[in-house]
Order: sequence, then structure tokens, then C-alpha cells
Amino acid sequence: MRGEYMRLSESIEGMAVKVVDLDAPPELRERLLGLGFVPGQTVIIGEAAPLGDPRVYIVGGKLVTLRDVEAQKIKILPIVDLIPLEMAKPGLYEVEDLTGGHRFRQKMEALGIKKGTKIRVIRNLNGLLAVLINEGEEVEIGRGWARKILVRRMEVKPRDDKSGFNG
Amino acid sequence: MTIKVALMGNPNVGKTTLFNALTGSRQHVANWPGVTVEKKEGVALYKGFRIHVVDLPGIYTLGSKSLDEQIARDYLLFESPDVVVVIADAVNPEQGLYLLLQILELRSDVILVMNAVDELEREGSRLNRYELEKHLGVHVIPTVATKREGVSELLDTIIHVHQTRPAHQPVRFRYDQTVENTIEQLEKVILSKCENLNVPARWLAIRHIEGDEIVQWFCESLPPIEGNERKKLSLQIARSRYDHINVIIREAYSGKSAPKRLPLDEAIDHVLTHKYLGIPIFFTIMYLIFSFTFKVAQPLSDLIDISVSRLAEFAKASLGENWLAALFSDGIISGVGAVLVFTPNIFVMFLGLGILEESGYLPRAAFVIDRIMYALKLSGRSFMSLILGFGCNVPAILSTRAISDPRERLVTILVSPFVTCSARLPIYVLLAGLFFPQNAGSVLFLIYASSVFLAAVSSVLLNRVLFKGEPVPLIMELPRYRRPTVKGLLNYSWSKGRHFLQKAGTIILIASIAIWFLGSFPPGNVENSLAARIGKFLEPLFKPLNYDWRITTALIFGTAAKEIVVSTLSTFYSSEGLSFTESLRNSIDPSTALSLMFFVLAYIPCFATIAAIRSETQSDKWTLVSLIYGLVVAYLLAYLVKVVTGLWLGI
Ligand SMILES: Nc1nc2c(ncn2[C@@H]2O[C@H](COP(=O)(O)OP(=O)(O)O)[C@@H](O)[C@H]2O)c(=O)[nH]1
Repeated sequence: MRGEYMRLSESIEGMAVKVVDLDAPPELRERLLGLGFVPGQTVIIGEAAPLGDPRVYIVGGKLVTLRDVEAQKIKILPIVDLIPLEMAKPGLYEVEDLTGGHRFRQKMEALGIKKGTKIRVIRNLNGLLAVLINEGEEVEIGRGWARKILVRRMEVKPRDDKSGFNG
Repeated sequence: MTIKVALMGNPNVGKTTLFNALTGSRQHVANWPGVTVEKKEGVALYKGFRIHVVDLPGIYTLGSKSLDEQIARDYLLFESPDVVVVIADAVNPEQGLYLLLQILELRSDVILVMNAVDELEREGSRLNRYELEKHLGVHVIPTVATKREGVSELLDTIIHVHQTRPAHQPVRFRYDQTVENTIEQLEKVILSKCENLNVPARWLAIRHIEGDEIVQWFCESLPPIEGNERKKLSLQIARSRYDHINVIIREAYSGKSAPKRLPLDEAIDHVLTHKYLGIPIFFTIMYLIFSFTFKVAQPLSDLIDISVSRLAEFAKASLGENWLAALFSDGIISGVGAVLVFTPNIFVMFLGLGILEESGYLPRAAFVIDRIMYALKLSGRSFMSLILGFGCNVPAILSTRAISDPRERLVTILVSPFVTCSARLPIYVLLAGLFFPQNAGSVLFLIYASSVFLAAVSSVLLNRVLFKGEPVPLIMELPRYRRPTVKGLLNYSWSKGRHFLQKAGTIILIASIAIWFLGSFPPGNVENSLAARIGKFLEPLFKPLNYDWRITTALIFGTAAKEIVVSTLSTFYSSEGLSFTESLRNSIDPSTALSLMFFVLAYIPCFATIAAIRSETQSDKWTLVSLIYGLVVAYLLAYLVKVVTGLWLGI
């Protein structure tokens, strides 16, 4: 259904998106899959050709050109990669912004949290977090504060992998 | 003992380079996708083994329908190589490993080559081959094909894999449960229905799910899978493969950041594919190449020219006044020499094209002008085939095999003779230099631009008349920029330009002798010679164009190979006492010269091209269409040019 997903052709240069589905006929689908346009794949939108079409897409490090007619067959979701710390699952994050006022910033400064600080989330109990700041000592951060800290995930934990070789 | 080895991999991973390193041959490489259009074969003698290497066309999957993908797949299925070497790009291995996983479902005696590790190291990352081996269950060899690093290890490994040939139970990669269930059911059906399978039933089941018709060939009438279900399963299969690949990459690579473009590449691309500048830059680059072709090579050409006429004089002086001396000096030396004079121009042009190819600019050019090609109902992909035609139409026509859409392929084949090949260059250079000495470079560019224009208009026309077709997709990978190496460029210009020298030594030599005889018998006035009679017989046809019998004869002989036009002219015009160029200048006016250039541009390509059209279209009808169409266009165009320039130059 349109509206729910964007199409790759509607994305904007510089955006990062995630492939959700392919609407292409079988042969085109096979080609797109071979080039890396699989559901779940992150795609970065490169520049357009002089007359606006085709465009370059960066898939798994390769530059692939698609015309809008083909890109239109790929359903995507833009990746919103900034989240409030409140919602962060265990893992390593980088602080992108502090959305509180001056006093809040000062408090955070005192803890050593500012833009660019690395925060490792150890536990997240409903917004009450146990974190390491720049891999230092364990600190607890409450929900009120955590909500105002915007972070970006830095490393992705390998997915629990059900499939694999057994040959 | 002979070992048959197949090289497979994505386009542009360095397969041809590796092939050359393995076999010591000099196939030309190019930094653009789809250059390996046919399988190339070569032999490496190593430690007492004859290793027979086959370089297959670059592909992304085993399942698509373009001709080169079929060539690669069919080789794998039906020619049963002993060992398969899959080459992946060490910098961006995802798509290469995807192909590997597909091949592993078919067979397990596979070696994985991770090529261009030098570029990976430059990026600051490393790969751990043992991790890759652990996860993939195959031998992994890192290589730098351009520096032959890892080549002997690869040869050793090929022998090792061949010798220790394990019981061939292909490695099994497990998919999600739903997929596995379907595979299992299909496997049962396959095993009960079809006996004596020489491919794994599991592979057939997966290919069937992915909708590959090749399955029919091994096992007929499998239960059909409904379209939506098939799509769901195929996506799941692809997804599991990539998930697995991502896990492997995370384990095997260190220091590899999220995929990003090299900053320099990005900056260059920003300019070369720029919104406003992209197209002008493309045309400027093309213009520069053609004016260099003229200017840089000219001193060398003059040198050859002088040497040739000295040699002819010398031959005449030492052999005396007899027909043999005339044959040597006026026939052979002047005829072949007239063509040889253009050797420098041809090598300079290939040097230019070589830089474009090796650096990785050409696919960008295809990208930049794709919108225009799209309006012509072609794609940037066929643009790349057409560009090859500037060298020679034959490889251009062969390279259309990589075009997946049969309609686009046919149109590309039919319009490629309009792309003016290097054999026609001598005629342009001769006439432009002689009649438009101030603007020779621009005239040359005009011819080349018209050539592109003709190809474009013809393709629109053909599409209109014949197909009323849909445009075809442009799915193309842009390679990393690479600095062209001197060795690579020399190799490139030599492998392409050599062809020209070979022709000079064979067909042009023979034609020069034949033309000399036709022009000298019966002895006496050349006006009464056999050649003159042929020319005069057809002269009336060319009257409206103002071509005399000499030009007419030259054009007729030129259908064997276009360079012969020049040698024929040289034979006929030199028999008037003056030097050939002087008497040519006195005999025709600039507007006729220009119209002749256009006639040569469009009329019947050489025999070799006609043969290529015939063999690639598999149709007499299309071959004939192409011939007649070319002739008609040539005639009308030449007439038009004559009239227009006649008015303009006031002649
Ligand atoms: N730096 C580097 N460049 C390479 C290597 N192997 C190939 N190349 C370059 O990659 C380009 C494509 O190579 P080619 O053999 O034509 O690839 P193919 O399309 O797979 O046959 C050429 O410009 C090669 O010079 C390598 O190991 N290192």
C-alpha cells in the first residue's frame, strides 16, 4: 500500500534508507537481489544524473545506478537513527544532541556527557539505565534525563542467527 | 594431467587481470562492467599440470536471463569444470559472496579469491582469510591480480583441491524454517520424479523456488509455485544469504567502517556527474580525444608519410622501369603505406579511449547521458557497447551479449555500424587534413558527433517502426576510480591497434595488389583499366554526388575493409604524376570531400562487421536490413551534405 512505505525513487540524496520489499517482476527482482537490494539492506542515496534520472545508490559499498522506474519498485523506510537514550537497548551509542536547557547541559557536562561522548548501555529497565560513560565507571541515569539525550547507535550486535552452515 | 578451471565473479572484480596473470596472456582489461563478453580460454603450465583456465562473463546471480549470464551458468552446469574459482572484490565483497553462496549450493570444489587486497589495505582495513575459510568451508586466497600477488598460491590451491577432491557433498546452508520446508517437499518430488540427476536436488529445489527455467532441463513438470509465494520465498532466501554474509564480514574484517565511498572518488564523481557540468564535461572530453587524435599524432604520421614515399622512390630507382617496380612502388608500398600513415592516429585514439576505460569514467559517462539514451529507448548499457564501436564495430556487436533485453540488443546491433570505427579514421584524417587544414580537428569532431547522432536517430526509428517498445532498465555498477597504469594503457592500445597493423599486412596488402592490377591492365591509360570500367559502370549512380569513377571504385573496394578506400585513392590519383594528395586536392572540391566523409561514415561497414551482424542476429533478414538501410542513409546524407556545404561555401 502506498503511503505506508516510501519508494526508493522518492528518497532524497544523502538519505539512508532500509529496503522493505521489492515489487519487481521475477527477473528484475533476481537482478536487484544479486546487487544487494534485499529487504533489510541499508541503502544510501547518491547523486542524480544531470537530468535527474537515473541515480546512484550505495549498496554494501558498491555504487549501483538505477532509473526511477526501477527504483520505484523498491519499497523502503527511511532510517531514523537518532533515538532518545531512554529507548536504547544494550550496546554502544554516541551522543548526538542534548535537548535540555542550560542547567541540564551543565549537569551532563559534570557527568562527562556532551556531543560525541560514547555511552555504553548495560541495562535498560524501563528507562532507568545503567551505562558506562566513555567506557568508564558504571553510572545510573534516570528516565527524565535519558529522554533528553539523543543518541546514535554505533555498533550493531550480531543478530541471533538461526541460519548457518552445517556442512 | 589437465585441470579445467572456471573463473567466475561479478563484473569488474579483476577477472580478466587474474586470467592474464594465470595464463600469461594479454587479454585487454577494462574498468567497466561487462567487458568479458565471451569466455576466454588459456593454459597455465605449472608443476607438471596443464591448468586450462576459462574466463567466464561477469555475473551477479546464476539466475538471470541475459546472454552472458547464461553463458556463465551453462558452462558451470554442462561443461563440468574440475575446479571453480570465484573472485570477489576484497573491498566490497557482499555481492561476490552472494554469488559464491549460490555456486556453493551446486558444488563444493570451489576456491574463493579475494582480489584487490591492496585497495583494502589502502583503506586501512584487513581481512582474515581463516575466518572466511571457517565460515564458508572453502579455500580463500587473497590476491592482487595486477601485481601477480597470490597467483602461485592460487595455482597450488587449484592443484590441491583437484587432487584431494573430497567426497562431494556440497556445503549446506540452512534457510528459515518455512523455506526449508518448501525445499524439502520439492526435493522429495524431484528425487521421486527424476533419476540420474547430476546436480544436487536441493539446488534444483532452490532454483525452482527462485523461478529459474533451467530447472525444466533437469527435471520436468515440477509443481508450480504461485507468484506471491514465490516472491516471498525468494526474498527470504536472498535475505538469509545476505544476513549470513554480513555476519561473516563482521567476523572476518577488521577496521572496516560502514560502507562508504572513498572521499576522493566522491569528489571526482561530484564534478564528473554534476547536474549541469556532467554533460558538457562528457562532450569536452570526447572532443579533446578527437582533436588529440589529430594533433598529437600528426608529426609522427608525417614522418611515416615521408618514409613511405622515399621507400617507393627507392624501389622504383632500384628495380628500374618495369611493371614489377610499378607494382612494388605504386601498388604495394603506396597502397599499404597510405594506410600505415594513420597508425599513429589510431594508437593515440586508443590511448585516449584506454584512459577513459581504465579510469572508470566510461560507466559514469553512460550514467550521465542515460536520460538521453532513455529517450532513445536504449540504456546506458548499450551506450557502452556503442562506444566500443569507435575502436571496431565487431567487438561492439559481440559485447551486446551482455544486454539482457533482446529488443535492445537487436537495435544496438543494427545501429552500431553507424558508430564510426577506427578503420574509417584514415579517410577522415586524410580528407579533413587536405581540404580543411585550419579546422581538421573540428571536422573530425563533427563527423564523430554525426556518427553518434545517426546511431541515436536510427535507434529511435527502429524502436518506433519495429517494436513500439518499452524502455529497458539500466542497472549498472559504477566501479571505483583507478589510476590507469602505463602498462595497462600500452597493453590496451596495443591489443586493439595491433588489429589495424594485422589488417595492413594481410587484407590491405592483398587489396593493394589487386587494385594495382585492376588499375594497370590493360596497360596504357588508367582511364581504360579494368578498375576504371567497374567504376565507370557505376559512376552514373554517383553522379548526383559528384563522385568520379575513382572514388566510386574506392568505395566499392572499401567494403572489404574501409582503410582500402584510402589505398585505392592513392593508387589511382598518384598515377597522374603529381603526389597523390596534391592531385586529389586538385581533383575534388571541399564540399565533395566532406560529403565523401559522410558517405564513408554511413555506408556498408566492412565484411567482418556484416559477418558479426549475421552471426549475432542469426538472421539474414536483419543483416540485409542493416545493409540496405546503411546504403540509403549514406546516399541521402552525402547528398544533403553536398548541397548544404555547396551553398555555404559558394561552390
Ligand atoms: N588495485 C588493483 N586493481 C585491480 C586489481 N585487479 C584488477 N584491477 C583493476 O580493475 C579493473 C578491472 O579489471 P578487469 O580484469 O577488467 O575486471 P573484469 O571485468 O572482472 O574482467 C582494471 O582497471 C584492473 O587494472 C587488483 O588486484 N588491484
